Amino acid sequence: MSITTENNEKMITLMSSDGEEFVVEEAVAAQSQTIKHLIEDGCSTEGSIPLPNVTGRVLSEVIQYCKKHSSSDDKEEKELEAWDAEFVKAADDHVALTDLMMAANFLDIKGLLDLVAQTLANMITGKSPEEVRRMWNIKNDFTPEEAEKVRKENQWAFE
Amino acid sequence: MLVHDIMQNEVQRGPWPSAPEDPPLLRYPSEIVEEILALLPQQSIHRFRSVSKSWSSLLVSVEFHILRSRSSPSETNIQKLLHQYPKNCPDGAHHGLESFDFRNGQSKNYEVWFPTVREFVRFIGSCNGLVCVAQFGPYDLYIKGIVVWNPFTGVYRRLPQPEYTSGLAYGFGRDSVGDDYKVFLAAHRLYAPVEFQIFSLKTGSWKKVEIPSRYLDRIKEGGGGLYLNGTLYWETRSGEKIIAFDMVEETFSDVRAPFLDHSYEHVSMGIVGEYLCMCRRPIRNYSKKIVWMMKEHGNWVPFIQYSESGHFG
Repeated sequence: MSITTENNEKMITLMSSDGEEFVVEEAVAAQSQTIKHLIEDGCSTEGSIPLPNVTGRVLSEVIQYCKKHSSSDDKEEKELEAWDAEFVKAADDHVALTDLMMAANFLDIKGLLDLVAQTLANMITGKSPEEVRRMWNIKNDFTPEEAEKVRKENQWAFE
Repeated sequence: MLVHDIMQNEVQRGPWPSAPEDPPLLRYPSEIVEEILALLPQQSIHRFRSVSKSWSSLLVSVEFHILRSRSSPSETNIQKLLHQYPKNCPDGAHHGLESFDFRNGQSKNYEVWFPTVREFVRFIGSCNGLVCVAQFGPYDLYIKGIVVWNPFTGVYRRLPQPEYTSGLAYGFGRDSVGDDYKVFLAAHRLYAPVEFQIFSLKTGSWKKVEIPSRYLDRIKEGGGGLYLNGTLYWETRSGEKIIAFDMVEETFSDVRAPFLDHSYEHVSMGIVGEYLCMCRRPIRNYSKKIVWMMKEHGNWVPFIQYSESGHFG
């Protein structure tokens, strides 16, 4: 379904995996390479574009990011950086960030992907393997002997 | 707010359903995890190998990728480690690399920083801007550690210790077919044949290779192989032949060296541009030298004669 606003801006509808609909300007949605290609292929003319991999909650955040980044030009780079910092700070939980990153990956929004990846990397840099396991609920599948061997090989990294 | 809701409602997170046999993180596709891990500093990359098996293998490939993508093959091949010997650097804290550019005849020094051990260091080889060095124990008896790194970016990788560390011959080069870099180490063993070990930067592990003893018996002790176009070359003790190792096939062969009669002696072997060269001098005239160049496999032509003293490497 495509609607045209007063400013002659083409609107498209995105549908999340849990059935929530978002009506956004085409220029905003086209920040996503995936959606851009879908539009170019004519997938947006009938009804809404379904995004089976993104929940409404995450999609709403992604749209927030895209809106900001499609309305800003290069002159506002500094301001945009500050906005980005606030944006990821709001989602300071690693689970929410990881979900956001997956959406950015699926929708192919490079700026958002890099932003979130860097935030997550900063978050875990100084952590111990045990803390990392706890964060993402990873099972330690090394036997005690294997664990000792890996630790020995990388001993300097623990010092 | 949205983030808060997501935290409250963890059950719904993650659109990728987890396969029953996978640990939870694998709900996230590995390219996502890789994207994050590639941004970590070197120390964290090594520390997190302890997290789990899948992280360990992921980190090995991440590190290989980082090492390679941040390398700068356009830089001049680094030819020599300048301060190889402990006498030049008593505290072992200062090591330099010298690079010689044949186009303008200028050499350049690089400071080398070692991540951990500050002991005797020896140059193993260089290829596409990556440098491989080994840290030796006292009297060069054994290898304490091997590092591959990119001196221009400072990105390095410390190799796990090989099983046998008493180094007889070594080398570093590229396997263009397997898109890999390999470190070679032939090591002495007590009351047993020499062991030949190969480390692959791509798989992150050592493996042993069977080689006919007739090759190893003749390799010059302490010999660093020279890498050129997919082949490592070692000098032999007699200087009559050169031992060649094919990086892709992992096979040895003999290459004829330029003819050597009793009035000449062997000085050294080196690489000039894209050619393997050998330097010889008349036994009675030490200041004079002849350099031979290998035009094609086993076909040598005299390249230059000179009588000044200088580097050849």
